[in-house]
Amino acid sequence: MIDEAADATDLFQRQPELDYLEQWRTTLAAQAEQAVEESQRYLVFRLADQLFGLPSSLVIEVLSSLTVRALPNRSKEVVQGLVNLHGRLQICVSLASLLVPGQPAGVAKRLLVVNLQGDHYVTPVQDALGMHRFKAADIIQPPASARHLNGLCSLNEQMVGLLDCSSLRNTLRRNVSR
Amino acid sequence: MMDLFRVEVETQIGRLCDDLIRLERSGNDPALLESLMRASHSTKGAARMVGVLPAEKLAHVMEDYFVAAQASRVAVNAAAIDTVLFAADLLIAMSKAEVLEKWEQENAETLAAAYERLTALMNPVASPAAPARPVAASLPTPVTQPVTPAEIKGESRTMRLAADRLDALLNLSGEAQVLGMWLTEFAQSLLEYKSKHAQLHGCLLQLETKTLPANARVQLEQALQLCSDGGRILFERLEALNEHDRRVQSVTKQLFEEVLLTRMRPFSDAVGNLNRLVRDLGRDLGKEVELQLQGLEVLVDRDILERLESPLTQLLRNALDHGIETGLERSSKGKPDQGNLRVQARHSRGWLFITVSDDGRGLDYAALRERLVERNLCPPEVVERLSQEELIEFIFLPGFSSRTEVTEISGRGVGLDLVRQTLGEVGGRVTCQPASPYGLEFEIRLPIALSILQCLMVEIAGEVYGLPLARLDRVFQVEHERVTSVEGRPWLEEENIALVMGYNLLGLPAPEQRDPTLCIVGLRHNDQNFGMVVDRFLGKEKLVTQRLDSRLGKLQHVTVGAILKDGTPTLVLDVDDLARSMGRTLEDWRQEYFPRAAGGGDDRKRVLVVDDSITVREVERNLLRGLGYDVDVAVDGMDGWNAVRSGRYSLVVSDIDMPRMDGFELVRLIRADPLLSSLPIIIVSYKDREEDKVRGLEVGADAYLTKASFHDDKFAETVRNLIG
Repeated sequence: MIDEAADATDLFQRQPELDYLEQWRTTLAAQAEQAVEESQRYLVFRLADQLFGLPSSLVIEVLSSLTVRALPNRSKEVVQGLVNLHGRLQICVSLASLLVPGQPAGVAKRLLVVNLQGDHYVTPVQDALGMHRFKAADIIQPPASARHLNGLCSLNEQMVGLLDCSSLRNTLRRNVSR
Repeated sequence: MMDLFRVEVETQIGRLCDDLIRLERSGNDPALLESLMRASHSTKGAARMVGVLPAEKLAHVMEDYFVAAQASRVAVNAAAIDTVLFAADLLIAMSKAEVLEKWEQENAETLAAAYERLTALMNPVASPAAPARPVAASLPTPVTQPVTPAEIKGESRTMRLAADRLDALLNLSGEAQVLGMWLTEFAQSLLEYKSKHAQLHGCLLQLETKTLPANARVQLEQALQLCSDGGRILFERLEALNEHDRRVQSVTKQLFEEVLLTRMRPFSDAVGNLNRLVRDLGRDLGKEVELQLQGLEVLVDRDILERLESPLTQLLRNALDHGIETGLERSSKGKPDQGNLRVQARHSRGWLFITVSDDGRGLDYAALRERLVERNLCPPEVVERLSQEELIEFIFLPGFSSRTEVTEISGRGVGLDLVRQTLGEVGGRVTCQPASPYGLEFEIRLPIALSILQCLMVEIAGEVYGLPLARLDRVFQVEHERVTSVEGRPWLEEENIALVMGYNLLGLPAPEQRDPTLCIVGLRHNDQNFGMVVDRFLGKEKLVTQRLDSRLGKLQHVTVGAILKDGTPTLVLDVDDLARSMGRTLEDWRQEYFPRAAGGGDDRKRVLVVDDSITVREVERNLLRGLGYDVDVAVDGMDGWNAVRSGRYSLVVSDIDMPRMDGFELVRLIRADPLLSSLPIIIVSYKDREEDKVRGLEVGADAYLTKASFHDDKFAETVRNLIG
């Protein structure tokens, strides 16, 4: 009996062979990479009747509402004005005017605070629908005419336009500094 | 690591330089020598830690020198101090180098020279006569060195902090105050509830006096009890809320004020460089000068501090170059050999005052007068009658210098106008007057805190704007009727200013309601007075301003933003921009920029009057207005042609003899244009010959009248016939 116990212990303490280890190491590593590559989180929101998604890392906050103060001698189309965000004046822009132009806006129930590669903006949206994970495999190419999208994905039978940070940032910059 | 090294070098060597200058004056003060030795020793150690070999070597030799000086084995004279300062500058430059190896390569010779000279100091026999001071141009100028904290009264420790952090703190503490205000308003609003509750209680009490069936009475007693309990709880809770509100107000206010204070630095921060400057410059010019600094602990706003270095430097340079005489000249005048320069800071009447004075030769008024005449800046007769104060003003003109040669030291007299400009940018001003008993004194006046702006809040097109009080001339209210017009421009005769509507300037829609009284803000720009009409005045406010996001660039008509007490954003208007725009608007004849009298709708017909005589334009204008038309004016044919193409006119009344384009040509152009060909045109001219009339009608005018016909109803009749 003692022998059996000793054998059992020996069994448990046996060192695995090197290539056995190697094999499993590669398999596990590959799995981890796959898991990371597969999906990205987006904040999905609605502008007019269309859905859009912004990578979650770009969204800082979602607020309910703020008074917007218009700027003189400028059109209020894209740059709506300034808001007071935690004591600091921030630029408020209308993404709707860029992404769904010409469509009646509707009441904006939420305000997104975003950081596009260092450029901070506040923008009103009709609704914020929470974070969603989209798998890379499910994202399809947007039409060439969609300047600010870098992908389309389906969510509950509706298409979500995934926004391209750089292109959006550049367009906003141009409008702001006009 | 390198960052720490940099900080260490800056602090240590900064102190070292200050002490060196003091050493020069004091001779062989052992305390100073000790401090100097320690500074070089620490620098040597730090350099060794981060492995910057050349710095270590240099600091080592410095330390040796000071040790030797403490033992009185070497001389401490001006030449020696020069040498050590030279090495100190190199150390600072080295610590700031981005890529050390590259810097070492580029400055290898200078480094070697410094090392040699320092070593030579130790060898009294071998040390040569003081070599010519190395040209400062080969070294980057030493940056403002912080004065040792211990010298500043009351400041015990200092910390380095990113400026952004402080700005963020300021914003958040402002927001905290705004949120605190809500609490106060909430407490107020509960008073209404309290009163309703009292009424409820009253109602129940009244009910109690009535006769009621027994079970109803029981319930009533219950209700009364509940009401009474409820009232007591409400009362207690309200008390607690009020108490808490008071504390929140107090804390947020203190927080805000403390954070505001973090924007302030002691005046000593701006003058660290000056001792060195005066010493070096004095040596270059061969003049012995002492610099006195007073008010070092006076607090100055960070943003203003940055702007002070350049003006102060320029003023001191001027004083050293032009003002202070050589030792010989001074003693011949009975003045002490050593010249005296004084820089003093103080707070007074809500302003920061900085005076820079010297005991030199003051201004040569005669030479000044000559120069003015020479430069054609002033005719000779006037120059003679100018008082001293008036003469002094001229020295602030650009390009003005009372020295014939351009010196490297003080430049070509471009200094003082730049000083005035730099200070003006932050709301400061500089004046000059003779010092007593001799010399010159410059007084700089600056706002104490830049980011706090006293503003007049106004409403324009329903939105709130701030106007900096310091830039406003006057404000007044007048009744609509007192506004007359000159050349079609609204004019307030008693104040002699032209008026422009604020909402027009800002591109905002006109408000529908029009008050019978106009609120006018008087602005002044480059000797011109303008009046901007706003909806109403909202009182004075002290705004804590924020720079607007740099992505917006410079917004037209706006300087900075701010957040009001209720948390809403507001904008502070740029008075210079406004004045410029007003000037441009007033030159634009075509714009209808004065509010029509109440009751005027868009269906009033519009007439264009084209004449190069202002009298005629006025007469015709008033006549037509009296008839119920809106009138625009143009000064000649070309102007008229540009105006009429806007398509807004029902009738054109034109003269014939005008510059640039005459009336005939104008009529011809109008008739040739497909859109305007049927526009009614009346020609009004002095020329009353038959051929002129024929010609007028030939080119296509509908009527031709002479200027004589203004005395009867002919003109009015013709107009009515044409357009009704």
